[in-house]
Amino acid sequence: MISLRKNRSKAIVKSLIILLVLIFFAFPLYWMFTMAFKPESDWATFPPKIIPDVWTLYNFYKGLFLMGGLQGIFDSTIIAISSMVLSIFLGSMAGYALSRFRIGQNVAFFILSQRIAPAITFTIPFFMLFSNLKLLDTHIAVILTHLTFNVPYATWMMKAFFDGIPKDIDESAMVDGCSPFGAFLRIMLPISLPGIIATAALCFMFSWNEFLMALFLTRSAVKPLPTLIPRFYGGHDILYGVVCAVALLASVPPIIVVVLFQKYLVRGLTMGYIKG
Amino acid sequence: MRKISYLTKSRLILILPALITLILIIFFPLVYNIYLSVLRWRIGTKENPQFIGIENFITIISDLRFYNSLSKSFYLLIEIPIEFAFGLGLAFLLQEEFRGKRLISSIILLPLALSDAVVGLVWGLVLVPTYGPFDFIMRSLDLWKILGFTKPISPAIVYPMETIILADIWQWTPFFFLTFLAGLAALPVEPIEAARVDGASSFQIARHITIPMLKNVIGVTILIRLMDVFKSFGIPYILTKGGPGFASEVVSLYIFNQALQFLNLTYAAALTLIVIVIVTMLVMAFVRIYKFEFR
Repeated sequence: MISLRKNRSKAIVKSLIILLVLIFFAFPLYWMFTMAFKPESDWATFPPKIIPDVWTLYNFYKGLFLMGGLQGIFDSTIIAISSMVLSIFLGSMAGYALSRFRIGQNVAFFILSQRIAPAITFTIPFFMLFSNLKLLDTHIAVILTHLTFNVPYATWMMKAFFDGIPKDIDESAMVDGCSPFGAFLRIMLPISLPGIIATAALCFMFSWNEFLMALFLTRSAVKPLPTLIPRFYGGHDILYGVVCAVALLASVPPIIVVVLFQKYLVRGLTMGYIKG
Repeated sequence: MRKISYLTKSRLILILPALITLILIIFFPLVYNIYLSVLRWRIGTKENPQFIGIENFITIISDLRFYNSLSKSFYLLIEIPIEFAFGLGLAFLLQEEFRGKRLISSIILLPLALSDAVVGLVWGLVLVPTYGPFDFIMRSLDLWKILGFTKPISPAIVYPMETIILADIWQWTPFFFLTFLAGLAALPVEPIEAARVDGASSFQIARHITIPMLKNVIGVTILIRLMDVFKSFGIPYILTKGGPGFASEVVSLYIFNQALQFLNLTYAAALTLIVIVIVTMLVMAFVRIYKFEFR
């Protein structure tokens, strides 16, 4: 009887802690979400309106059509999809080579070293290159610079996936007369399709969310979504509702990726070191 | 013989495009940074690049603003133990299966999906004085007075670094939670069951069995955060802009300002090289001290 009551109070404490944790993680997002639907008169009130009484879509209209949000979505989509396709193409080949041929651990460490260097290390040389080629402020500039983190990432992830496939499978294909390239194309790629899709989704998310490089390499012709945020936020009169509407739209695709690919997220964020 | 050369050629087709790209992508920037770091070359002027040897590096030695930014980046490291403890606690709390577990962990994972810029924005809005929900709660519960403030303050101005750390914790605790949860799920149950039968308390089991078995998972997670903390840019850029003054100008932000605000790209290149050396040394020291098996 005593232990039953003890268990019960333990369960209540546990539920309370979980509730507090959920409030901590969800409330800031809830605040952004409701702000995006509040009319201008409710953006800055005292006391703040925790539950909005008037809902409007005007912020989305203003953000998308008057403040460049639509162009931002277009630019971010082009950049993220191109960077994703190129990284998967190159990364799966390199990953297969690393997994099956003896290129050695050095290459692996070399790829990991990419993660050590700050993003700006990769941005400055590309900035110089693109300014000489008159390619600053174009999609190509951002796409190629995003490859600096997405290709090593895709290589590493794909290597981990290929490592999980028994060597016998592609070796027997090669014995039967398949070339290594053929074995890669006809056998390994189809088997690792789930891995490829998960890697692609995460590459898309990283490129979509990337901020520093996009900010550095674009100005007016190209405006990826994250770079729109400091344009609206930080000046004298802040367009709270509009910036939240744009930020909310920018957050939808990566949130879908995280929810759908939760199973692969551990692998994805630890570059395959921890298997989920 | 012909068969072998055919095989080799076929392998080359697989390796070459990827290898060339990887080299271009990783080597070119590093080498070009080294090249830039020995030049004086302000972009936007007609001035030609001029070789100045190690002058940029000598300037760095007496660059107080760089030391300031380094100290800010090192200060950010205190968020790692907090994220570690918080994440581990959450993983233990949500370890067992129960209804709604998937929904709860999905909500906890949401911050991981967001762009740094969005995280900075969200916390900027939550913490804004007078109109923000944080200030409202503090006023309603009279917490400002209880904590010894004579009047409400703006956290982003009075405690800029702590505000950045708070936003970082919000974004990255889910990462620790995620890896620890996966690590716990992969552990064998027998030693834990055996300890429980022998009468060990939950705390003893965690302290002496579970955590030691998670050693590698913990090591990898901390290592990844260690590298990423020095890259922190988006949150400070949006939340504090490095201010007030230089009070929250972390290393990436300072290099960014040198490059874009002062158009001093060659000096910025020299700075990034120093940062790479520092972070590499930290990473190697961590790997050595922690002694985890790197596969």
